[in-house]
Amino acid sequence: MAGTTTNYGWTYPTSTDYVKDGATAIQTVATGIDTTLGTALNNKLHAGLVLVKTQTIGSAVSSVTVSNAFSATYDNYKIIISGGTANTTEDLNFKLGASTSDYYSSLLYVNYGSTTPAGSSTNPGNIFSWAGSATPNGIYLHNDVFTPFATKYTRWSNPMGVGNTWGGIVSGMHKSATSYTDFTITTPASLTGGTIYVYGYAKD
Amino acid sequence: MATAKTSEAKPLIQIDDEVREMTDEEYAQYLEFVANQPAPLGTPTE
Repeated sequence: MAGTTTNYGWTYPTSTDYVKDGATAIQTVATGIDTTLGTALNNKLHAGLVLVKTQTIGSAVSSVTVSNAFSATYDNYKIIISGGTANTTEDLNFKLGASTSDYYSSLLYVNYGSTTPAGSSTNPGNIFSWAGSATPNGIYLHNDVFTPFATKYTRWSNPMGVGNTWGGIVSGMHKSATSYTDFTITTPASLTGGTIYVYGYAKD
Repeated sequence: MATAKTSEAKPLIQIDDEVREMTDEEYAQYLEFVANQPAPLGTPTE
């Protein structure tokens, strides 16, 4: 008598079922899997974010480059850093490839305890500023990067701008129509441990 | 804030899984990044 799987109820043949019904049983299993995946993925091939690459941060480093992060497979990316520790509290900065110019960053923030927004910007800078935080309590970064691989300006944002005394958001643009495959995180602090996650926003 | 190091070891740079000391050129560029970093918005206490 056929059985069903625990989580999704896929029907499968058991050892007492007839061999002659094997093909039909396989068809039933395949149909069940196809239905479940189609529902979960809205009939697409990938979920919203696809893990492209991970990179463990080494010991006492002040600059980490992740190569082959961007490609034609995805137009837009999310980069997350968590875990680890820093020797002191400093900002993290984000660099595209080898470019050291044409970075425009705008920060909108509010000091904790205040209701008055404030701002700051680079116009331009040599790197994207306020990309994340390096602290003895952990290393944090949450960036979205739009079209870094295309030969276009790259748009960038940090929706989780967090300092010890302020919280805010950062957005910016790299005004150079250049294709990049790598990025670098750099900081005045010394980083140990933690993981960099690179996700691509699925297109299919 | 990082300061120029001549005889002392330079900061470490990581490229993928490789970790090594910065070259002179990399260190010069790193110092420029640090020097041009926007001023802190608050006093670090963490």
